[in-house]
Amino acid sequence: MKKNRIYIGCLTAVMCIIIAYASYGMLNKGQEEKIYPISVIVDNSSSDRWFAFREGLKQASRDYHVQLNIVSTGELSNLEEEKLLIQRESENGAKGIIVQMCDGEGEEIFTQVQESAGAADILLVETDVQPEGIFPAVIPENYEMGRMIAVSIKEDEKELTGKKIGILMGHKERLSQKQRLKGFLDEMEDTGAEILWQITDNDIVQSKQLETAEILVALENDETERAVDLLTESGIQSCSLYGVGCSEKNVYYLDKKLIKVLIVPNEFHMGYQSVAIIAARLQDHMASTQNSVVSFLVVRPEVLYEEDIQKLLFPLVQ
Amino acid sequence: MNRIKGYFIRKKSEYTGSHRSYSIQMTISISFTIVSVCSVCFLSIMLYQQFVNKTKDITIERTEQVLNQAAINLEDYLRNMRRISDAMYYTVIKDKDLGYESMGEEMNLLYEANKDNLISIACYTNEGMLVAAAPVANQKENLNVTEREWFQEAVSQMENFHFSTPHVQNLFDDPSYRYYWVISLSRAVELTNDGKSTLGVLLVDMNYSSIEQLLSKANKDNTSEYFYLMDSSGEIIYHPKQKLIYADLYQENNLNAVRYDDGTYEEVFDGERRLITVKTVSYTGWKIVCVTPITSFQMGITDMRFFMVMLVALSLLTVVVINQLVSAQIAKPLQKLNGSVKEWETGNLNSDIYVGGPIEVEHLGRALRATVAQIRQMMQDILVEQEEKRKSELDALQSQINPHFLYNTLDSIVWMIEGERYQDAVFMVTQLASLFRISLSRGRTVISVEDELKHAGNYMNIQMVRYKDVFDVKFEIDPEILCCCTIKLVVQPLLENAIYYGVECMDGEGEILVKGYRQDEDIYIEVRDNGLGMPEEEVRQLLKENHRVRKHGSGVGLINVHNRIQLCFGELYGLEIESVPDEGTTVRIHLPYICYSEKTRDKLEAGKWRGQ
Repeated sequence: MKKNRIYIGCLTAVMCIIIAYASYGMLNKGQEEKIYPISVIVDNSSSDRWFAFREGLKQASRDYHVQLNIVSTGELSNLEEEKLLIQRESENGAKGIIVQMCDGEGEEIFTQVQESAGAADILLVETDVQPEGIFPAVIPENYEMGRMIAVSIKEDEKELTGKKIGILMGHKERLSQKQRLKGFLDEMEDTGAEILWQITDNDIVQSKQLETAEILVALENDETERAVDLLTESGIQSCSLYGVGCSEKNVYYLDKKLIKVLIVPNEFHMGYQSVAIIAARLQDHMASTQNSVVSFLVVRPEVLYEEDIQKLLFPLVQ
Repeated sequence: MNRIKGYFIRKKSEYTGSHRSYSIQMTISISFTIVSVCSVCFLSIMLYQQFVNKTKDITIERTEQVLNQAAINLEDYLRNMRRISDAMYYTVIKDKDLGYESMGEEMNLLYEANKDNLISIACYTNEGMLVAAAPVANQKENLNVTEREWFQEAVSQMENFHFSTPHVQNLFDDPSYRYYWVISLSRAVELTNDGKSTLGVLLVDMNYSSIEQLLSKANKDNTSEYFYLMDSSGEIIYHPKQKLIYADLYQENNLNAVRYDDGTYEEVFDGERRLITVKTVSYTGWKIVCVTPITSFQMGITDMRFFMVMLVALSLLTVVVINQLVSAQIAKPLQKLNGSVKEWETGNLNSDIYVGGPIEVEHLGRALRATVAQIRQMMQDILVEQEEKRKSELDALQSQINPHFLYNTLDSIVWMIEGERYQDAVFMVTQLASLFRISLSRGRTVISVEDELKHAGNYMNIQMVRYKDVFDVKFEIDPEILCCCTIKLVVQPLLENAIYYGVECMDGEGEILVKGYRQDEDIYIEVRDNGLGMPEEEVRQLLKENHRVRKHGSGVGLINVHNRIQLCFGELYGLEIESVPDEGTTVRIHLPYICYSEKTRDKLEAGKWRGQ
């Protein structure tokens, strides 16, 4: 009798637990999937240069069910400006912020940016900051990109001794620019080529400087466009241009053979990967925060329309 | 082999052991519950499976509908493109002699009318020279269209339309830096130049965005189901994750799917089970494929699954409760019956056997009650029979004494009369009369100690006459015990033994002492002689049933007395014998101290004293 009561009691308890579990499952259906708001802060966000990056972001936002807000920005010239934007987005409810830092050095960056971000997760794109690794980052192989420009020049020029090279850089404080420059200079070492000048985005290029340079190297998308524009305006045809970029304008210049070699970072991948990582972090705070590196293409006019290249280079829908 | 056999035997004994310990209510309850659980689970699984299959069928049906609609829209779009090509060819190119006419104006008109879906229309000679193009644009330098795939296909199969896979248009220079993904529709055309017919190629570059928009409408749902389009060789034309596929971040099973005919198939790709529905687009051979991960429609039935689980659990809970009530109702009369049987088992012979419940149990109760009554009656009968038996045994034992003694006494009287000792004979007869009076005691077996000792005295007087004072006899009786109960004729056989075996041949030196006293709640009457005595071994044999010495008298004296005392007073009482060879023998009668009255006498005679 006593055994019977124990069995029945256990059975009843099990049934009650199952009913409670099923009720909980029915009531909580639909609440499982949270949609996290994520903000993206990049320099001059409406620029064509971010087209592929935006495509990647949008694709990932569909796949990972996040609400994407690409913050309208102009030219971001300093850290203070970026910190204000980060703070505003955090206050507006962003759970994750994808940011392209314009200032790349200093131990205090982490504290300052984290303070501005509040509880929001930060993920860096395009460029890391010094010291590297304090924030998760999705970045192109900046050093390799710079080095590949030098490799391309070496392939094109049989003799580099005495060749005069002018370099156009983007924001001089940005770590990505420094890494690309280092990659380029390291590869060019011992070639005998002469680096005539290095100009950053805020500097004005003198026509005399253009005339003296035989090879122009642009380490950033906007600088590549600027270089083409300058060369076209001044009518200089003897100068070869090697650049980094991914905008359609740069691709067009490459197609027109105004650029000899264009290094194109896979920004679609960068955009997609950045949302994927931050979404994973938001869903699981224990998720890995290792940096992710995206690849790049070395494109010459002759291979521009090759199937594999055009699939990566041109946006599918205008 | 033996181990296995042993294991099964152990298991069997464990099973049967545990089986026995179940109550009837538990057995009924568990059996009902198991049957109910199995039935409910089976029904639930069947229903759930039916629901899943139905959902699957509905999903497939809906998918096929959407797929058919998408195919119709696409075919409609492609038909329009072919119509544009036909219109261009049959109404413009065929009517124009390029020697002196231009087709640019008509081409522009046609382009303008369809520019939402078109990127460009162009006509080339067989040598790859541009004849006309709309919109008007600069052709790129150093362009050799004859090497292009669309051109070569048009020339090689002149009777057909040819649709290319998506590619970036590379024909005209667009100063606004725009590049367009197009699908080229090319065909061979007949150009007339100064009256001569030459071969040419008409190219209609369809805007890829139009196809993309057309198919992305089908992918608007937020489910994980999606559609993609591929050509007859499996090359992807549209995919919702096309860029990811191009960037090698995502993979599609298109090369396998292209082998499928129209219909729905189940496949496992990248560790995921999914349904593939394929629909071929007419004319082009393109295939629209709908991919439905199995998990997507399982997610849709999660609610149903929870609901089913809850329903099953609730049903089981109800069944368990009802089972409990029903089994209790069934088992209750049986438990009551079992309870009364248990009470009976504990020794309460007067317990009432339960009669009630269903007909079967009631019948069982009645039968059991009748059986119990019968047993009770039989036990009563056995008691009466035993008492009767005891009495008749007692009577038989007593009757063994009387003839024996009578024979001896009458023998002595005969002997006296023959020896003319009339006074002694008269004394003997008087003593004998007194002895018989006490012996008879109106048929009673229990008398007072006083009467018993008087009887012993009469007997000794007779024997003293017979043996002419060969021995001396002395009575030392505590008066306190005279009023106690004893069964009759217990002292006399001891005196007889003391004479025959103790002092008969002692030539006047024999002494017999009869001593009576009380000790606590017992009384003792000793018959002590100073005769020959006997060894200890012989003493031990005296009170054994099989030891019957027949030297003198009936030979049943001691064991007879001992049995009679035990029959009347219980086994605690009886005779105790002490003997030392050449010193004498003491036989002690051990009796309980019971005051003699009619009530106690009747009780003792009815055998109700024993065991108290």
